[in-house]
Amino acid sequence: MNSAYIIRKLLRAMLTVWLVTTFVFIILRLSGDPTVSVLGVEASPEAVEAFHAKWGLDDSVGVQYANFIKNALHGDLGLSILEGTSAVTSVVSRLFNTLTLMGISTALVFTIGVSFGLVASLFHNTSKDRLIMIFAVAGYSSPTFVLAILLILLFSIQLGWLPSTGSGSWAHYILPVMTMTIIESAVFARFTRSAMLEVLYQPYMKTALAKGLSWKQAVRRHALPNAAIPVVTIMGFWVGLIIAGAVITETIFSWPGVGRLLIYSVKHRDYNVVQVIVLCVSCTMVIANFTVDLLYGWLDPRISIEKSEA
Amino acid sequence: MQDTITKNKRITTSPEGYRGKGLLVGIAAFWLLAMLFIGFTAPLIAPYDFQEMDLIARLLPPAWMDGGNVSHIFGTDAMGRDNLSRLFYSIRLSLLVAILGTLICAVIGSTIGFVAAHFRGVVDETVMMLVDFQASLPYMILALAVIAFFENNIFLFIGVMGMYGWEMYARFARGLALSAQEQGYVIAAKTFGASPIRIYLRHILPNVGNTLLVNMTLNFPKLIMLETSLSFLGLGIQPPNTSLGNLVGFGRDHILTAWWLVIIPAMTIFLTTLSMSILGDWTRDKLDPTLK
Repeated sequence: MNSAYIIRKLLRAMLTVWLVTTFVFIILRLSGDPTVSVLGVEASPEAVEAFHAKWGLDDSVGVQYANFIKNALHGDLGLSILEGTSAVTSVVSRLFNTLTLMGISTALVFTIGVSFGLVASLFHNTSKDRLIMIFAVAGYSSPTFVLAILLILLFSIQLGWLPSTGSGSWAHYILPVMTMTIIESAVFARFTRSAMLEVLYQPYMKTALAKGLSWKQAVRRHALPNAAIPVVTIMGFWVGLIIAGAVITETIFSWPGVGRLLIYSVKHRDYNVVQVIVLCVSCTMVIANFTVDLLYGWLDPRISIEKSEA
Repeated sequence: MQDTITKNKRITTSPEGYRGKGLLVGIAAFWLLAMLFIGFTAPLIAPYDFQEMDLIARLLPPAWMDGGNVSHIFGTDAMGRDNLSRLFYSIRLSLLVAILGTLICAVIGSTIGFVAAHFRGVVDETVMMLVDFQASLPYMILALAVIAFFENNIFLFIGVMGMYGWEMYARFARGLALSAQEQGYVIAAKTFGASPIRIYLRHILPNVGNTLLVNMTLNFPKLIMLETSLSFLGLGIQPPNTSLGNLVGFGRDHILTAWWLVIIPAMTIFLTTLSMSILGDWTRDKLDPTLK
């Protein structure tokens, strides 16, 4: 892990953030005018003109982009067209709800997913393995909105136990967290299982057992660290998605978070808010990837040597 | 597990597990064939036109429930349209989008991979950078950003679906082509003066096709999920066209009084993606067990 390697990684990370922001900026500006969705179809020509002038919509995309970058470098990411407040404020005001929802879900997904995956791999081809895998296939094959609606039907409508929308109390957390946990644990269980199976049948496991390590020691010292690398990779991907990973869950449960704000802003062409959310997502994504890279070096010292030599 | 390792017996599938699995794969294949049949013949087998409204017979329950009517087996929706017919047409459109998306993606992704492997150098570097870029970004977010573009244009929507997961094909195709180039048959074809295009299409592609095919079967359910999710959110297929996601989305407004509006299309989506996943895993085990 030398400094040149870290610097190259950082430059690449910044390039990624810039590429994503630019791509989204251009797509949003090409995609049409927010005037109609804000002012309505029957707005007077004067109002439309004033609106265009206020938001600089008559300038070419190039000029708008130059202004955007100039303001962004001064820390100004524009106003929310719909709310009139700073776009950053609109996003930040939703951040807490999203982070608590995702924090709880992440903790559950990682523990449940990984432990079920471990059990399945350590009992490979037994009934335990098959049972877990049947649930895992069913879990990752069900689209989020399908599972969410089935849960609402069961727990809110049939049984009347839990609220289906909103975010007032702890009870509101249960259904969204359950939705995310069921689906994503399935992904993690499957992934952990295949990563473990990959290493359990390696010759070094046999060597470890032959030299007299107990089964537990062999698994802990030789199998787990090697299987951890791919698992850490998708954990990093998941954490990178933490801000906007719950787009569908938040929309269905009317959860006042960033994901729902994203859908709303896309529908109503609130450029600046979409832009801020995408910027946040790409930043967290890049930070998560970077952390994963550092973790690789810690889990498997060979990786950082190879990479820094390459 | 410990015994399996020390005794060097790697039992991949025990007999009884295998038989159970065979049955599961059979059911999955049957379900998918049925969906394909419905998709192809929707206009012929649907009892009504999917847009035909009957405002007197609104929100009828399915035929087997109280107040149901045999003329509308799955009941009617809030505008009195026949649910069965709408379901058939939705299956048709959802499958069409997913199949076209999978094919477009396979062709574009593999071509990009082959181009990278053929030219190497700067082209290769750029392609791999784009692959990393795509792999490190949630596609849903990109799709959402692009989708503001749409204005009810189904062709562009299929285009966006067709770019979902291209980086996987590109990565596989590139890796496979690079190793194929070292193989005797490619060198032989080259010495006979075959053009690069001929070499890639006639010699390399048939030899690496299995992996790409397996990737297609694994990508297909993900595409159905993406399309139905976006349509559910009202950002995918636009009315009057209808996809399975739209049906669930509209049914959600009546979830308190007419749960069947939601359950029937939701279960159709689930069973279809589940069947495809089961079949995809099975194809992978058969054709290319090295893939993860």
